[in-house]
Amino acid sequence: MKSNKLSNYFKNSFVNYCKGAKIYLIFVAAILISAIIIVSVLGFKLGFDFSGGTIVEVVYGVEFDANGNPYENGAPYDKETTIEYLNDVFSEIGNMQLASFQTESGSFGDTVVYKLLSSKKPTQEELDAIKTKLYEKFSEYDQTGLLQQNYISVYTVGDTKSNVAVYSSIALSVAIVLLAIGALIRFGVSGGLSIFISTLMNVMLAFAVVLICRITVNVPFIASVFTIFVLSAISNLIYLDKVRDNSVKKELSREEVANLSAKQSAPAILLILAVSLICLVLLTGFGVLPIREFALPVMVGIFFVALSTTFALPLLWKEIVFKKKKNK
Amino acid sequence: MEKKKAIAKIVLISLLAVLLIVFSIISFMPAGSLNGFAGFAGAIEKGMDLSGGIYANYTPSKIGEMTDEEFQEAISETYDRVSSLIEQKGYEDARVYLTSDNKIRIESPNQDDAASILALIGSGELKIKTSASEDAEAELVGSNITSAFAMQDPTTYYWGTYIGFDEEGAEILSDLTEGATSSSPVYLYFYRGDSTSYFFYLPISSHVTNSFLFISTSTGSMTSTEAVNLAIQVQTGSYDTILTIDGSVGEISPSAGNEALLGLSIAAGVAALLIMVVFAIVYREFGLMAIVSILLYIGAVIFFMQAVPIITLSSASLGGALVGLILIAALHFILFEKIRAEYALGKKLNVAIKTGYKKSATIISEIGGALAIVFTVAYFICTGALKSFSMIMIVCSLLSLLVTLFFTYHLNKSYSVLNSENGNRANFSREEEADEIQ
Repeated sequence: MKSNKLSNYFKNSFVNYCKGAKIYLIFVAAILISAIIIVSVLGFKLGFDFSGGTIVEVVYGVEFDANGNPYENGAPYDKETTIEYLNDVFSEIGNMQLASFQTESGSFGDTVVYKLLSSKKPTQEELDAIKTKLYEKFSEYDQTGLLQQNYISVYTVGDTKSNVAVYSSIALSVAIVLLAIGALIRFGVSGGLSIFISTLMNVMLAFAVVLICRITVNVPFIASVFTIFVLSAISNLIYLDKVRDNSVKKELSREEVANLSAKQSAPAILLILAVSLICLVLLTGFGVLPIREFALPVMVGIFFVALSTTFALPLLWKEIVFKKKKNK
Repeated sequence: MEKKKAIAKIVLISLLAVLLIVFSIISFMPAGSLNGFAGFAGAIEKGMDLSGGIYANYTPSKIGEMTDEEFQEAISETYDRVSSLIEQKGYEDARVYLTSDNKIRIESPNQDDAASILALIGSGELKIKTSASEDAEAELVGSNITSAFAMQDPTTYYWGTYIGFDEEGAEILSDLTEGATSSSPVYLYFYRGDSTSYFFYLPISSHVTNSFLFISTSTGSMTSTEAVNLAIQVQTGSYDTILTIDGSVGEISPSAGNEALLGLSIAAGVAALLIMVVFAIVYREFGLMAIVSILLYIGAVIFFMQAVPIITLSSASLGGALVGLILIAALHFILFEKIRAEYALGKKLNVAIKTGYKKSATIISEIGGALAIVFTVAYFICTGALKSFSMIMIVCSLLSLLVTLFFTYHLNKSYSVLNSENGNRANFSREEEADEIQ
């Protein structure tokens, strides 16, 4: 669709964006309330970066048994067999989700490392039971048994001390406030407050959808929240720029300025967000799990940014009015 | 502006863009040189999830007589100090875990001296002897050390290492150095664990009555790096437990998988191509100017991503690069739509470009400036991979302003010399009632 046709479509539309916002705000409230209920009942679904989990290390390709004798026909199990056996064991256990798969090379040999998440951190008894299952599985191939005890490790780890979540939350809050202050200086009190509420709402909505859909919250998710913040800032500033241009037209009421600015800014905003969405779809398609943990929340965020900039922001700007007190 | 000058400008800026892109991608070995050129993209520091790193597991053991409870507390204290050391060294992506079987596990990007730091942590207890003989007993041990850090002497500004001792350690040090003189100094030899060779020796020529030593040189020849390295050696040998590395420092593969980087590079390339195709379709010939600007921007961003040492590419910080791409596209959309609106009112194309720039410069500066300021503040608050995200955003915001307000301006101005009247070539049209303004 050519850009000028898109502009004409919005220019000729009779939608009252301010009135449409009321439906949108009800929708927003429903999502936020649902998220609060889900968090109260189920808690956050934190990823390995924030909550730690279970680490399983299995050394593979060992060529000698416990007595130092070489195995006939080479090593008892290779990397592919190790992975196959591990997957069999964890599909039986059932309540563990694979967070990441890596390999290590060290002094004991090449090792497969599984990092696993579960809703509750396993107790020592549960860890011992996992170890026993692994010994049984691997000893089907290698009858020695003792070898696996040296080369199979199962343990849990806690979260690291980096406090990424805490500092990121502070940084995001400061960022939203700074943006609002900048908008206040450039676009007035109405602009500053409306951008503050709109940006905060977009960020909270994306977070709420992630909680409702039980998407794992990891470091890439925090990066996605910052990305939503940037997209929201760009969209909101484009809208407020139009408001600034239209506010000089004295013949227009506040509601008319808000609606006209929404109509004029919609083509540019929607084009930018559509291109962003396609880029993210590509990233999701070509990327791996951590990238999808980043891209999916942003895609949800784009949807909310588009709606809030088109409906909520005009209403907020229209309603937030500060009248100077008349001197008596 | 003459047509020749305009063409020359377009060619020059296009050449700069092409060069930046080419040097971002290619790598080669210059003839007769031992050092190759890696390409800007290849030289970007990558995080552990994309390029893997190194790891080490440590087993703590008791120092002297300790109850189980004291030992647990000592392990926790040791874990805190190890985490603090890794954070001080600036390994943003590193992770330090305390495991359920009371071990400490460190995963770190293989940057700078990370491998040697990880090896040092597990090198055993610090032992200070007064003789270099293999059989000599340790006079002072790690548990006698309360603190160790590098600092500058406040009077001479020479770099040195401060080592603080506890009461017992201070008393031992005083006894050892009682007879020390410049002609008959007392030598202190610093060892780690069961090593038979010392890593440092210190001649002391006067009686030490304080509870600390400030190790420096009289000529100020100790560098800050040497002071820091010595401090780390002492720190890592004075934990509340004795850490022994299990085996040695090993390598760990990327957590995102070995092919993640290739997949992401393809996705990023296709995304950039998509944006350029959109500009070409929507703005036709005029969109070509945007394409040159975007290519210039991408090359410049890749250059700065490898030049700024703080930036590490990971799944989290990659978002910053993607947002940067969207930002430059957004600023160009804003600009071009303003020019389109001016043309629609009836202005000639060259006039529309000029007034479009004037009217959009404010909002473009506001967006770029706001993001640069916000992420500068965020950089100082964030930790880990999000520090890189913030730095990438700062670079992208500033570069997008430079490219949009300077390079794109000159490209568009040059284009308007070659095509000052025919808006159709840029897919622009007049409003229904608008006549061309002469």
